[in-house]
Amino acid sequence: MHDTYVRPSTIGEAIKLMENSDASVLAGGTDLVSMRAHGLDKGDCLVDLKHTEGLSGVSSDNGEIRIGPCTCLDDLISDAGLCANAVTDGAALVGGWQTRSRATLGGNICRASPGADTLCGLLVLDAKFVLISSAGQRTIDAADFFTGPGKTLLLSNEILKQIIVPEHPGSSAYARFTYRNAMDLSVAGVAVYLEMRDGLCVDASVAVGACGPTPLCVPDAARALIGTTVNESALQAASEAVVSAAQPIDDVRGTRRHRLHVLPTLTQQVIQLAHQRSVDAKA
Amino acid sequence: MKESKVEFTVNGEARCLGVAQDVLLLDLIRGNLDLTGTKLGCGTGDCGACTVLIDGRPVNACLVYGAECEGSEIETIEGISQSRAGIAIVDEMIGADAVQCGFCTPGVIVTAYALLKLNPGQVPDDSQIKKALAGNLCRCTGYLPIINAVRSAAAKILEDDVI
Amino acid sequence: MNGIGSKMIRRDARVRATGEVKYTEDFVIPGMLHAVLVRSPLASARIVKIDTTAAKESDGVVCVLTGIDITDRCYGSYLKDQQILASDVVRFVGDPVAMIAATSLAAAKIAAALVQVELDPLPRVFDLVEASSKDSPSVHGNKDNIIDTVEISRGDVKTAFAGAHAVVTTAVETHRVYQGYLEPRVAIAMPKTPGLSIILTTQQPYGVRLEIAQLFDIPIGDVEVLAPALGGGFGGKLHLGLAPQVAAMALATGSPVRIVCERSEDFSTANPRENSIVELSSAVDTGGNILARTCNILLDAGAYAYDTPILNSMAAFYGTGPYGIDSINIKAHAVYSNTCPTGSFRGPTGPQMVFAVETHIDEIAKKLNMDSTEVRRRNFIRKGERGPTGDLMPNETTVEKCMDAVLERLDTFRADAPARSSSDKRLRGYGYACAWWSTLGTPSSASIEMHEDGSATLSTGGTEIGTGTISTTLPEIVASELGISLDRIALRSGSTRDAPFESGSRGSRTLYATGNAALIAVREVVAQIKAEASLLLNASPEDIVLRNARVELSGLARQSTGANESADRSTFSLPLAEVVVSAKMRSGPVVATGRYRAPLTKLQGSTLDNARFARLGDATFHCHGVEIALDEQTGVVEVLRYIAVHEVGKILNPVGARSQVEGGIVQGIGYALTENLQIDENGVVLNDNFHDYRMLTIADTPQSIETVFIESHESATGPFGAKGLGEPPIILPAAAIGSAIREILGSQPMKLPFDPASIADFAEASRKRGLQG
Repeated sequence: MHDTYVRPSTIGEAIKLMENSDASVLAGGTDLVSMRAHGLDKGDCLVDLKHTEGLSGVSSDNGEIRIGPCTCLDDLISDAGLCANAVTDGAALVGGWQTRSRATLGGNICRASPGADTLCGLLVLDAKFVLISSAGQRTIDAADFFTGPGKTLLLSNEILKQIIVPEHPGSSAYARFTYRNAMDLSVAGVAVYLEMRDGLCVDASVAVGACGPTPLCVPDAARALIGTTVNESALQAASEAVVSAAQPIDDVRGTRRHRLHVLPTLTQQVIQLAHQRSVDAKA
Repeated sequence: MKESKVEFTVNGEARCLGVAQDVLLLDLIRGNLDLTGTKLGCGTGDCGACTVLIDGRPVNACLVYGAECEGSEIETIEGISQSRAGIAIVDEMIGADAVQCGFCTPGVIVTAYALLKLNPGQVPDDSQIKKALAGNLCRCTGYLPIINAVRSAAAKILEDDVI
Repeated sequence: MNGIGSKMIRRDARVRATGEVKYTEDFVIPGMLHAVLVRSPLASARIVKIDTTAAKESDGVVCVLTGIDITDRCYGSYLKDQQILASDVVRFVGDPVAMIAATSLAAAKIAAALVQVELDPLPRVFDLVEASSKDSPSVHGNKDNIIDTVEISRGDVKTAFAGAHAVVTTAVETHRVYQGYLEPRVAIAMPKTPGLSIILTTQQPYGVRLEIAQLFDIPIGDVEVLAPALGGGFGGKLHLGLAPQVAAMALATGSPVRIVCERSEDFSTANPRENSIVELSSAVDTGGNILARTCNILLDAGAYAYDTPILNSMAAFYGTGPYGIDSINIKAHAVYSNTCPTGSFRGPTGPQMVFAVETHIDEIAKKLNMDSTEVRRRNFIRKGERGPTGDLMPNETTVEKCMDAVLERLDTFRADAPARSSSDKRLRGYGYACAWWSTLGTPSSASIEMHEDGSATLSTGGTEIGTGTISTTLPEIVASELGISLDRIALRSGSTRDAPFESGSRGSRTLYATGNAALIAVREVVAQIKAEASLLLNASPEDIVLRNARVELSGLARQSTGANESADRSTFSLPLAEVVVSAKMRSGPVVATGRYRAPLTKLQGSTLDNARFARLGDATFHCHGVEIALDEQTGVVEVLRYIAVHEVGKILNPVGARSQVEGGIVQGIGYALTENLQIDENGVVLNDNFHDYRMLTIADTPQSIETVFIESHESATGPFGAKGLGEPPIILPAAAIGSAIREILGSQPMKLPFDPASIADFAEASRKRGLQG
């Protein structure tokens, strides 16, 4: 009878353990504990990756920011090497301080809740996820990783090894609409990346969350910004594109109608925030 | 049910417990260790009544397995309320009439203690206090006395240099 | 009077803050079994079969009960319509059908999942209007779903309406909200010989004792109910909770049994505030005077009656609000539906009735093109007039004073509001609402025992639910009467074993009624002490005072006897302890029990049909004002500054009183804006957790809450002139916020809550109608 709780010291040990179909990854636990209490995860062996070498921490190398999946959100937010960006904006909104002390970026990604607050930022920053198993390693673009509510391309014997975020010359931001100022799950979320040069937007990326089965990239919104001064009409066009791309439903947190209603203002607010950041960064 | 041995410290005291799978840190604290100051409020990490410190960070003990605590330092309200800073926070909470039914209070004090301990030498402003305590629900007080209590506790702790 | 009227420090605050005091979930009884309930997944069905074989054989299981294993007697506060475990029909999602007791909670949960419940679906009804109609599926038996109707009438409504200058009609719809106490419901039962001992998260141990005794045929004196420190109740812990279930299991197993209600379970099976529909019509004259009113109220009781048969009387009573209306016809119906039973929540029916009445009076003002403040002034009920049930207002009513105080403050808010900035495009609005409320002088008793060292014990069945009344204010009253310091008063409270009957911590009554009982007791004790001292000091009892732990001649009496400073002190002053001992030896222990029940005032002029609640007791008056910022884009309403004015007689504990106001207001804001217990098309509660059921967090508080107490009208009947305060603060915010929304958008929604989705739609529709000012 194998152990019911294991702390692999190395990634090698971890992926060996994951060959057991009864193994469940335990990172922050803020989702997994609830899931197991409700019988939604029945793994016999909890593989605690928090102490596994190489899976925590933030570093930068060769134009890429590398984030260990077991980096807790609080550490991510306060990492000195990162400037405010769409991912840290999202991380700062997850739950309360108690949640962020444990919840990890990797957990937020792999749980793949459509409204999860770090996901839109990862999309607009072209994040890549390195997955590893005994069969080898592969890298998947964030934009391809999420396949449905709670569903990803991660195989049952794979673990998320690293999150790679290419360094970007511009700035990004994320904000969400909720009823309360804290502790709510997102009703609608938008992330925007902008690169400005001489007052013109030369690159952009927009994603919307909690308004579809997965976070959604909105290339039309990006196109509406590129080549403009990010003026009133560009903002308008971008938010219309987001509204068109969104596929919100009625659920316990909000109605389809209201989500579509708040998206324009929210989108414009986030674009302006990203824009202000890029202006400040240059200053 | 198979148990594994878990060693950790609780309020400075070394403990060693046999812990079965899926047993929560909250169960260990309230059950095995008979420290009932940490409360079960919701079991889903939404109310903060079960807040303890693990290695100095505030967490919801209802979302942590006992096994995960191997090698960690756990602090609960019982320990924190004996520290000089903890006493100051307790005193200010009482003085500000921030304790009504008291069920949320241990969790509030633990979180506030962490806020002040991790930011020594400064008095947090209201927005910092609110951000730190957003995960601690209170249904009785309407929160305003809690904000006042944490602010004045911070000032007192700074003055007495006890954190 | 030391302490009274000044800052009192909660005596029990420290042990709560440090986690030292035990709440019900902290009690572990040796040999205790852990129980869980198996609940119906369907809202309406006939129970075909319950197969407990697998469950019984599961590891650690000691006992499995279903309805057929236990008494089929029903219980209920007013109407006994609820079984301990449903044996025939289930009536809401969550209706308990079986119970497991095991040696561990985990084992009990595993076994619970193995119980097989076969149900045959029956027609069901969730909508309140549909449920109240004759053709609705029946929730109980073959009767219609109207449990109880109360009617209050006076004068000639028909004629008044026929001849009115105008008739205005308003209909409002309100939602269900959850008390949200941080401490989940827990129940522990222990068999004892004879009888039963129960430890329970309860606000009224005596009510529980009575019903348990009746349910299980045990003499009342052999049932004891202990209420430890309570982690919030707000009315949600008045009902028996899970006491009947654990009692049945304890009796079946002969072991102590504990059940802890999981939070999601509590959300969906406790007793939330009822949703309701209120229709008001008023006949008004050209001057804005309300000549007559009709009102029809539907209250959704859910699947079982619980408190709704008295709440409908309350709702009917509050159909006029603090206004004098000669001719009235008010009907309120308690209605069954296949949803979770609803129950009492702080200020029952208050938030919705105040919302209805205040919205309606604003509609009247709008129709007549009059200032709504002026319409109120013309209609406020005044001294000498009678309330809707014919209850005389013996004193000057202060609601206008409260309103004036609020209006003045709102003017200041308006004047110093910052100019609209480019970064904050929200619209600011100002609103207010008025109300009156009751102070229930329901039966109370308290005992005082003097000890040989001059200290005293106060015994009361009252429970300390967090207001500080039992733990602090009452001992403070007793100490002040005895002339000793607060730390010399020992308190025994919250258990039926330690004190005689007490109505419970509810209905803004504890300070008033239990306070009065304690005062009566302590004054009798003082009389005994004075009687003894009069013999020892050779003086008349009227000339004797108790102060500084001594019993002595009053200053005047001392002068007249000629005793001077150099005389032997014992000729005019004795230690209290000595007098107590002397009395004990001469005539018996110094002890007294106070019994109190507010005398029922005479009602006159109204016809009451089935009105269980018909008096305000000692009426209190209130007005709240609010400054909001409304974001038309998102529909979010933010409460900025808040002013609360309350006239509740003399304030004995100013800090504690302010705390009640602030806490109630924040609950009331949640009711108005973000809290809403949602049910899906199958009667399942959707948001059964604290992240989707949105109570205000510390990050959502208003910028400021100012509290003003008008103390000029001391109660003639309350202890030291005090009246009740616990409930009124929660009943006004929704109405006040609605009024502020009206100021911004020209009108306000008639449906609660004012959540962002609703307000966004409403704002858009208002804009289209061009009503904005």
